[in-house]
Amino acid sequence: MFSQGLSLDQAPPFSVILRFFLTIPLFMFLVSLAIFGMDLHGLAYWDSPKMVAIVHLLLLGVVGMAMVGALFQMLPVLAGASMKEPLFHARWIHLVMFIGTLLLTMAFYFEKFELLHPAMALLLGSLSFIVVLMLFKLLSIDNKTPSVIGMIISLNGLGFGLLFAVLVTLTFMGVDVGFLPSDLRTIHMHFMLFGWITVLIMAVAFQVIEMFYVTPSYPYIIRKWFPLILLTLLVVQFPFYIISESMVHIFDMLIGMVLFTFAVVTLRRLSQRKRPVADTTVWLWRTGLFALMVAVVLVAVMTVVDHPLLLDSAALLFGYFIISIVFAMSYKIVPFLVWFHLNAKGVLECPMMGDIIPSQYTQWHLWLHWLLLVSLFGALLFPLLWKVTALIFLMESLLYGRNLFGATKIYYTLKDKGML
Amino acid sequence: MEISNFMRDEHRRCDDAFAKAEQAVNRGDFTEALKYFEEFMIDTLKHFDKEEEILFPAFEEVTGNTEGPTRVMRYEHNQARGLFEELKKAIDQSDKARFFSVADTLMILLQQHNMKEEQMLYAMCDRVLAPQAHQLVERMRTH
Repeated sequence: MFSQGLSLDQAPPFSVILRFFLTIPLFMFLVSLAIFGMDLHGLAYWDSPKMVAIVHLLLLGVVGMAMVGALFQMLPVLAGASMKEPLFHARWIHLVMFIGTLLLTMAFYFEKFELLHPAMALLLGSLSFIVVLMLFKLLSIDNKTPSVIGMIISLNGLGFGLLFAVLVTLTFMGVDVGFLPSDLRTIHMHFMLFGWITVLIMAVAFQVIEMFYVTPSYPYIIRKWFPLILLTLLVVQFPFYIISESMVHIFDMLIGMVLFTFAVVTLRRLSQRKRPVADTTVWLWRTGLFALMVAVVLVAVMTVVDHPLLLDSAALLFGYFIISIVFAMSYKIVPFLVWFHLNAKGVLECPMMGDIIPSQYTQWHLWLHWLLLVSLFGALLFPLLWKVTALIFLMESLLYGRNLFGATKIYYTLKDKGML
Repeated sequence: MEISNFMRDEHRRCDDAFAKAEQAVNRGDFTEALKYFEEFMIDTLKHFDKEEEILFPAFEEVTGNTEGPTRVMRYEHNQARGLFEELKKAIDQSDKARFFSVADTLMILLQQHNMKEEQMLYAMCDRVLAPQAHQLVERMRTH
């Protein structure tokens, strides 16, 4: 009964999580360069190879790294399941994901499709390993809290997303798997965006919104059922891509309702927080959740008014939601872990969170992030503004990198000065 | 559930007092802040004592496990005790920025600590200490 639970050894070495988070600003930088280098007309087509490259660079390089890093931290700390040799696994998974993401991006961006095979092998190998390893650990836990259940469901979502990535690739190679290529791409995208990333954000939110901001807990029904409902909707939906298009739209609406409710309930929690100061991270959560709500509304409007701008706006807002949450999470987790690990080493003059990433820097980042939202909408109307958007995102990557690398420098400067 | 409920209520009372201290600092009222902070500190330290002197020894005796969860919880209690001193210093110096920097660290430390206790350790205590739960809660109430 007590093989699971708490032990000091369960906090994974700081470098396990750090390597994933430190890679995020680098990939953000590459995303902005990729947008700079694009023909402006190509940005209007989601299926153009360069856009496919940028989407994967963003979702695998920026969001994927954050999600995998979060899983490595959550598994032992929030779920109480320890992993043998976390540093070894983190090192090779990070390296393989890093190379795989770069190869996949290059394959599409430069239309060197021969790179697709090694890219797929590396990404499927590393991500499938994560799914199997972490599911094995999580399923063996006796006391499955809603966050543990959320993590299990999110890993299943990732598994489905990977399966459909293989099917999309097979279709790309000319194999008929029974679905239209565009439908397969949508199913793959939905499992990755909703089944994996959004479910994991939910699982994290159930714990950290209450923990970081001292709010009331989420209603039990939401904590227990929402992740499962979301994945179930996706699983039940995909056969209807062959059978009935109207049913697919009904499922889309139901998925939208789950996402909208999650956003409303989380915003309500944040407004009920006991802590008086709304720091940068509270605003990042609010901004991201608001973007999610607007994205869902725009998709709903599409059932009445069919205009390509609605889908483009909704897609951009959904991406903006995910990235906002990644920033919000990392600005709490990284400084806290720096303090936690330095304190554990017995460093006497251990800096506090506010000394590790000064609030004025995160404030500047927030303003840049808001500016990004304005420029994204401007670019939808005036494509020339994509260059401005790329510039703002590049500045965000530099500032975010400065904040994370600054925190890392403090850790490595002080870590050997402890008494323990 | 008797142990879980009693201990969880104590956590919430401590959170409320600390939130009032933060609100007072935010208004710039350091006299009021000191009053609520001391209330929070005394309640939290008493809560730590109840765990370390009554609940944890009972758990360790029944399970024979002194190197597991209770060791981590004691360690985190000591981390929090160190931060109380820093926070008191910030209030004495009326240093709002320093106060919130330390408060952020302390709050995350305590909240993740409380969650681990509420979701894992207290649940274990409810199971293994069920026959003596009522007596233990009474002892902690009058401690």
